[in-house]
Amino acid sequence: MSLMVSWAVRVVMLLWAISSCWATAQMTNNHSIKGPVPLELRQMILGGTCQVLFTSEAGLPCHPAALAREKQNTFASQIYLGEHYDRVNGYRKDIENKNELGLVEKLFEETEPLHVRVGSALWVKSPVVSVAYVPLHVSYYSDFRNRAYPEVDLKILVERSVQIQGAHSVDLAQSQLLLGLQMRGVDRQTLFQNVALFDVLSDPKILQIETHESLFLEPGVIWIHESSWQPRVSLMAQNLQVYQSGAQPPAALAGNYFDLGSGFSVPMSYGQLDLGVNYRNDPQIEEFSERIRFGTGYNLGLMNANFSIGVDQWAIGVSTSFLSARTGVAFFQDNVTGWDGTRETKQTVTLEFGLVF
Amino acid sequence: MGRQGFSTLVMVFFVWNSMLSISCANKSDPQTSDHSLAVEEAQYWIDQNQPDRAIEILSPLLSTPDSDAAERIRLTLASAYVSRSGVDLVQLIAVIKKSREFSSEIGTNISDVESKVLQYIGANPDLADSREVFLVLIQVYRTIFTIIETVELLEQFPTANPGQQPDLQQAIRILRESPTPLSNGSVLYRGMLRFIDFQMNLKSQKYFSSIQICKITRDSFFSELKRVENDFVGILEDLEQGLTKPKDQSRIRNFKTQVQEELNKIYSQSFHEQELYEIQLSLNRWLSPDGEGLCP
Repeated sequence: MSLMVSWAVRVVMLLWAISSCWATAQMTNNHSIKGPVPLELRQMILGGTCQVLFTSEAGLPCHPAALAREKQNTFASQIYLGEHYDRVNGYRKDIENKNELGLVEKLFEETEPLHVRVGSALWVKSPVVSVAYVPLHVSYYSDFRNRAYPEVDLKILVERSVQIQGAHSVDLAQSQLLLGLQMRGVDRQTLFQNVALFDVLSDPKILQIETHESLFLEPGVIWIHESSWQPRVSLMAQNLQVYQSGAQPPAALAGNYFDLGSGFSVPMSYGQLDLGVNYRNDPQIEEFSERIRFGTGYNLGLMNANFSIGVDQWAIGVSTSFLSARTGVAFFQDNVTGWDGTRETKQTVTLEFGLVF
Repeated sequence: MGRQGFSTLVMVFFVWNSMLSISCANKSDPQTSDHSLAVEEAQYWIDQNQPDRAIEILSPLLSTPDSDAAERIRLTLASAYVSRSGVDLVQLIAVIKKSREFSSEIGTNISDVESKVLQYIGANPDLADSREVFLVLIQVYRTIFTIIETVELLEQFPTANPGQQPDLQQAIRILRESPTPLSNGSVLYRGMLRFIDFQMNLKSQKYFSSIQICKITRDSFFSELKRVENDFVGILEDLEQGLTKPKDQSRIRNFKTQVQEELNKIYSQSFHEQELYEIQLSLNRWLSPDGEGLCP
């Protein structure tokens, strides 16, 4: 008995020592840009909870195993635009042309924090396989500091990617086990730097616009109990890089994590309502509470509404379809706490347009 | 507690120590982390328009021996004083943009006019004698517009609030007293702050004070001129080091040489009393607010 206790104590102490070291790891900002880029507004709103909410027929599943629940083949194209996308488009051109001085002038005129996402995607899906192509996704984050010694904290990502999902279902007694695998190939240009105006004026070449290509394999599994409420549990490993070439990706984009989710569908007379919760086990997210997110989706005919909430963040959006056209709008709010404990709120709006066949 | 229990405790103690040393082997130096946090907090207070709090946090760390953090602490502390002086360096971005747009616009306009007139002269042989006159006029035109452009740009340079220039000078002092060489970007920053200080001294007539009290002598005039030269050449040296492109460095170096040569010519002059009096009158009129002069 005492041998078991001693080994149990060793294991507990090992876990405690490791977790307390991870707790000092650098924390990323609230705008996590790791993992797959969102292909549509619904995925942006729901974040990790998208994997356990099945309320969108036209959308592409976030979890590859959920593909096995599809009933028909679909082709779709989407564009989503955050506010100030025209400015971000200017930055994208400077980055692609490596015009450092042009970029500097624009960046240091941006004295308010800015977070914008712009992207487009095309996909085709069936109950067994889906293929998605993202010709462009731009994620721009900047935070300007110190007017007496101007500095900008930048995280600019320009990405093109191809994503293939495959799924297979296994019927069990009164339940279903869905297995899925997602393969993602990305080509990225990144500018992740804290840049001071005078350092860049001294030598514009310090702006390090880097390029890399990566291939990720992301397996996942969903277990669903076949009852009226359809309770389910999902698990998916993400950002598992199996190949990489070019420059080393920035730390904010590197490192794998897994999502563990649980959800259910509420039996309703009209429409479909799903509720779910997701836990993201990512060592870069220091606070335990920031790893948890709650989400809900409601689908009624042509209308699809989504809402999700986490610590210091929430998002809500609605999209509608008419014939083949689809449009949507979403509102995002982040709360940031300063050194003196005061809280500041950042709000953004994003629009979506698409075609579904 | 029996023998088995005691040996279990000993094993736990040794395992715990070895786990801590292995799993936490990559922890960063605590002092560097503290200094980085202090700099971040100071920057936060500067952004909240409370530079006094930033100065309070960073002043005790100014003599830190850690070379990685030392420059960062020195720069952020200097920027806290700059913030307190009221200088807003974001305005510099508009000045840089305007200088690039204006120079290319004037250059293009003059070249267009020049080529059209030269074409016209070429097509009319009886105007051939006017060609040289015309080229001189174009050169004068360029010079006048360069002066106007420079004056307009200088007007847009950021300045400190009235009465807050000592804070700007304290920032410059902090950057000059660095025990280790600063990076090129930091030297460029210091040069820019020195230029703003120099411009403010010119506007507030801090140079040539002997002229203002009407007591000019050859020695006092040369000593004031030397003071202006030292300040201005110091700025040029910082700009030369801070701008790392060889073309920019060569341009500044040539300008510095030109200024020093012109001043050396003045120093080698032996001025008579009447000539000094004329110089005093001219400078006095230029420096006095109503242009009338303070001296009889």
